[in-house]
Amino acid sequence: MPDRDDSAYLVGTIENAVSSGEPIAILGHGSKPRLVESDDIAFLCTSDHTGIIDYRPDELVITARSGTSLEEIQEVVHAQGQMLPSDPPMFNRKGTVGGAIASGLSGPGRPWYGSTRDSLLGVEVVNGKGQRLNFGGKVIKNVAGFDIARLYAGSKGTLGLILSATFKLLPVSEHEITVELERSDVDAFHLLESYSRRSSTLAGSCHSEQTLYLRFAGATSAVQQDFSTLNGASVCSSFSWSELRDQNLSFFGDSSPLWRVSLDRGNLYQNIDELSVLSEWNGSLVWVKTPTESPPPVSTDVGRVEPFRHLGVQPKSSLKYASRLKQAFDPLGIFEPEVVV
Amino acid sequence: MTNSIALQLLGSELPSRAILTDRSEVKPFETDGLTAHRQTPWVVVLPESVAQVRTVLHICNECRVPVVTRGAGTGLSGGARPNSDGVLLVLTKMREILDIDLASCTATVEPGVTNLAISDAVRQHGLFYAPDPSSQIACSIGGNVAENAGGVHCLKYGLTLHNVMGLKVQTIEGDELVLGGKSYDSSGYDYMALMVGSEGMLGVVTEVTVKLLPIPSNRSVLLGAFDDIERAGDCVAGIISSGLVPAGLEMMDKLAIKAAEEFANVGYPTGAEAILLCEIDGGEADVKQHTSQVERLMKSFGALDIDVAIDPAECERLWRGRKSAFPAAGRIAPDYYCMDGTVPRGKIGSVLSAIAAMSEKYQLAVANVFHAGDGNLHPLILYDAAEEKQQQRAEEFGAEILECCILAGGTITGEHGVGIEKIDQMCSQFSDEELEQFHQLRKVFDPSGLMNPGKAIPTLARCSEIGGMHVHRGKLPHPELERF
Repeated sequence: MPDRDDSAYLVGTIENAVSSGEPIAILGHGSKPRLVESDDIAFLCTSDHTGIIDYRPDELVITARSGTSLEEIQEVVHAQGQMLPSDPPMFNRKGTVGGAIASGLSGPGRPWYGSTRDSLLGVEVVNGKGQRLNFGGKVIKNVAGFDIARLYAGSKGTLGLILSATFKLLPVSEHEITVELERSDVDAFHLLESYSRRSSTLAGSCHSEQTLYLRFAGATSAVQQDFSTLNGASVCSSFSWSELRDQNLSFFGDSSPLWRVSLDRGNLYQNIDELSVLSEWNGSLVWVKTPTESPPPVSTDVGRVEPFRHLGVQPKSSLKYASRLKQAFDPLGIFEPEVVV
Repeated sequence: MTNSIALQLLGSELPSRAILTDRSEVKPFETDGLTAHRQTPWVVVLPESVAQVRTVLHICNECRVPVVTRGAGTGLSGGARPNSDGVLLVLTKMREILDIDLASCTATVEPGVTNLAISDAVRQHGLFYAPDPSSQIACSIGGNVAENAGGVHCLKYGLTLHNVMGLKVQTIEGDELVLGGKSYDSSGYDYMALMVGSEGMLGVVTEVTVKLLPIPSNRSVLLGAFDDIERAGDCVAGIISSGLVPAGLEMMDKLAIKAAEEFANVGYPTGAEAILLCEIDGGEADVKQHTSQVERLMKSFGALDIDVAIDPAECERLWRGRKSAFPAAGRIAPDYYCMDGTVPRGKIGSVLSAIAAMSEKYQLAVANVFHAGDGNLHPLILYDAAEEKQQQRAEEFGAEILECCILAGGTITGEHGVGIEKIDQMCSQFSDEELEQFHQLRKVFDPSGLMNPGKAIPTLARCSEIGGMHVHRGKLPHPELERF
């Protein structure tokens, strides 16, 4: 995809919206579930605002325009033996830098490599007054001012448009293997728990229907050592972590309502073991399919349930601070008015 | 007038031992680690429970009395300097470890628990809390959250913000925000990102849940001596781009080496222009492999001498010099002023040259220690406060270093916070619109501006008074005007 600076158009459109009061919704590749389904809103599309602005492999830092595809970023940094640590989902192989930030989603390595928010160092945004603002920067340690850059992670386009962003990168591990084990829910839980209290090269877990897949990544000798101490494991070449990340596994293939459940790791599978589930992130992220639109029965002291796909209404925050936050960045309600997350 | 009502209310709601008003009692609280700036607080309150914190906030909100929250007072930017007509809310009595959850590998603690006490409490389980600011024996976790504290191991393990899973925050309006928890990444605005590093301006942290990590089974420390500081800087870039992630990567210049060696006597090469300290940790196999890789790299970048420690006592010896750099600087000069800027790693060499030139200009020596892996510089400006105008010169020197960091594409503070120390440089780093957005954000949580007023975010009026001109991306505001 050619590099193109579309910022004049994007900022101009927002300035017009500020004058006219006509709200807009920000769209990248449209790869992720939308916040609100409405026909009355004009879309402002970032997908022509593309290109890597600055990439310095020896700084482990990359800056790109928000419409740049995640696929391009991954290709460019992989060529230098580096990766975007949070490995954000690319549903249908689509997805932009801006969309990854706005959705705040992270891939299967999240507990080990951090979230999209964690690796975000800085953003240039346009707020709801049409002002171009820079927060954060291009360095890892930076505590000047409130951390507004990271506030944009997971803000779902309600606080403004992201023009560009800077991420910290990580080197790709020297060696990586995936192993497969037959394990019940309880046995999988105990095995994963044992890893959390010792040094290992574990860097991914996926459990569904009695099969546990583990990813080990690190120095070759260390990966081999971890594999050799694991009973009953066999190296598996057919499992793809990017297919898990992008929800292309058969588990995600039907149109049942899909829920995202964040669990305290100590509560793996409590109350939901009779439903169709797939867990990752060391057991702390569980995808649950339900036969109806009723949420899975998970009590609030055990974890949090959020609707993800094939579900009509998204929840709105009732917190007064959420409304005020929206007001502070978008006083006229230019970006998805009435919506706070 | 309202202050006297507030004091009456505080007295009636809190135990008398929680309130200090005598000058002799409040005097020890007049400064944090930035000791050059002092202010006697009007009243000091030491709550013992969340309920008492809420009571104090309620009374202060009703009576419109400013609140400055602090922990152990080890901060280096004056963020906890008291207000002359406000309450200083000191959380050091709230120091209970509430829960250690081995299943989720988290610890939940009160804000006054010291950083090191967390690691001490979980060591028996083979776990530790990673961020380790050099004040970790004394500094409290609440303060770490307020400042987004770093340390020598941030390169691999991240800052406070990467290691905090959950927070309970009390707002001045009387709400308790329960943010995050023991699980990852729930949807909704990331209030936790805002609270971490907010320097006590958005709320009072009353409970912190931190991530615990397994103690690496093996560790090594390499010390490389270089006869050229630029070459040491190139070696840092070489290590980073080789695909290694060291647990720590530190650099010291000649004066810092000399001071540390005289103080700690650990066998540092005092003839070297610079040393690099590189720590590798992990399992036995990867530590072995990565250590020899770093050794080869140091050689290829021209290290004259390389000391490799694998034995824990030897590792400790090599670190001891670096860790005593600050007190060591205190021995070679009556006073020192510790700066804290960050620049892209590739700019370390040129920024060091600029600092050397400033050292000539201001006629003050400077010892450089820094977290080279993070590009985080800590120049220690040496001076004598008893000598006329030396303190002022030291502060001007420090301010010029910060401006230099901004020009190099970095930031005015990597881990010490803005506080009062760097508030004027905020006018250089941010535009008026950006500062205004900070103020708008602040009002979300503190509409009356009672929480730590006058810190961290300058008013636009202040910026225009100091006459700093914001040069944004090389573009001057109103370029059509002639300037002289």
